[in-house]
Amino acid sequence: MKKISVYRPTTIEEAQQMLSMHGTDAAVYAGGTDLLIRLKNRLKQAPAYLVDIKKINNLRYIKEDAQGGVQIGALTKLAEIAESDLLAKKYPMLVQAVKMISSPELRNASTLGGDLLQEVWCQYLRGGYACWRNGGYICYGAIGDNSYYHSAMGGRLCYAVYPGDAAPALITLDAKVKLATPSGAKELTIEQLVPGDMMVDGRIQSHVVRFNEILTEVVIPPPKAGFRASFEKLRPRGVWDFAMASASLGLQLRDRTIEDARVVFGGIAGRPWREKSVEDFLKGKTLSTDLAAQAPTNALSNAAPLKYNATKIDMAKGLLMSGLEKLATS
Amino acid sequence: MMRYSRRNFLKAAGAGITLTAIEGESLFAAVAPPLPTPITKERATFIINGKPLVAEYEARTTLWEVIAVKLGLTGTTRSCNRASCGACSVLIDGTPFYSCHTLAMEAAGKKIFTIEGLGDEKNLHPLQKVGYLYMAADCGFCTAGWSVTAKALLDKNLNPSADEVKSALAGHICRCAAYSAIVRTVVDTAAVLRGEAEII
Repeated sequence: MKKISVYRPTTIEEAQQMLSMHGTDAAVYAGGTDLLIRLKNRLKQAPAYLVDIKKINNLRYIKEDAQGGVQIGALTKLAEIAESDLLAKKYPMLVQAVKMISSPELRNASTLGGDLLQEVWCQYLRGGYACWRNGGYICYGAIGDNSYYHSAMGGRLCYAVYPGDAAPALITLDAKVKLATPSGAKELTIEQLVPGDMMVDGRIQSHVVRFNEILTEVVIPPPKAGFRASFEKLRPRGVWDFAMASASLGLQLRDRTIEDARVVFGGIAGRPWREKSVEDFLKGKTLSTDLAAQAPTNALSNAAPLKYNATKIDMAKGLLMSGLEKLATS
Repeated sequence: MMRYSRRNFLKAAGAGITLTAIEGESLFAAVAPPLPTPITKERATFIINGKPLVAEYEARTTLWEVIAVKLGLTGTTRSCNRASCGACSVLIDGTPFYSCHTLAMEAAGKKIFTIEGLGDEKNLHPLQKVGYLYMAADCGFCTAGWSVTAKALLDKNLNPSADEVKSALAGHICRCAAYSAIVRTVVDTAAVLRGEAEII
């Protein structure tokens, strides 16, 4: 593993001072499940200085606010979210999505903030190829084996898919995140937080968090009456893997009429892919199994699959159909 | 570049005097706080299977390196070193973690449970006895990992169904594909621990 030095700040201000001191050579260290692999494979983005924010003790909580929404601290472990009774009662779909992330041991270690801001899991980047993210000028995924974790919806420079499952689920729930920046607190929607491959601080990354900013909290608004949601995910082995495709659906129902809809696909593009055409199609219709069968025809019409990953589009459409069927029959 | 002429010198000196006059004592009081120093090496106690053991390690040292290399408890096997197989699992305060993918400083001072704590040749744990009978260990490389995770499951839930066992052991890969034997082992060990079955 690369040689590292670790800071242990006790406040967010201290952590920001340490991050600012080293620039992009330092990184926030929380669960470490993603970071340690970057260090072990000695990637170019592997930092030499880690800022361990686990000693900051007010970042690990799940609590209900006055309006009935829920605030989740960025350092909350995924296992804690999966076992939380409060979240299971209010947002069963989020708990379902988090339970499908990775393996039980990794859920014990990894945090919600780390899951939102994780680096992509392209085999070329993780294997140390000099791609765009790793100091080179080429995307090996676009020209090489792209059958698993590469975008089927086009890309800018990096074609790797955004691997997280929490982000699509949280977009469906209309969640926001809070960042601590040197110039004060900042609030972003999840869509603004992970807009796909972006050049930030001279590096390509999936999220917009700068080197001296720290994600502190995820805020989920109170659940509305008549809101139904589902999360579907396909994985090569059935457990542990990242999503080949995932579909998180959120429907605002009055009786069985759909008033508002959220359709977010994960694992098919460089960002959680919100499909507005299906949302528009669903609005005003009556929820039924027939509608579930019709909906995929409108989905992902602007897909641009690479050589080996056209199946991702079929998977995403199938997940959309099965998700709507589940909502219609339950 | 500034030239050292008499005029410039006087200007600068004058500026200095006015500054001192305005700022007063605060010029001398402002001392920069010391820069924080990062940790690169540490010495800590690990309570492994109830025994406190002291190890010195670098910041980058993983828990597996401390357990197996520095402290010589070689029962815990490391296979992939990338959190992709589960062979290196240990329990930290009763929760399973991949020891190859946990920095040693995370577990410093905490209670660690490894395969050595489960049982030895003379005094096998029911999990090991049943696993031996069902041939749940073919090559044995993954055994140390799933055994401790199964122990963590059985500590919490003494009556797990096959599906619960499968989801609890989802983070373990068995190269010999003895999965059905492993699941059967854990389910039947629970029956033994409950006192409903006996090992013959």
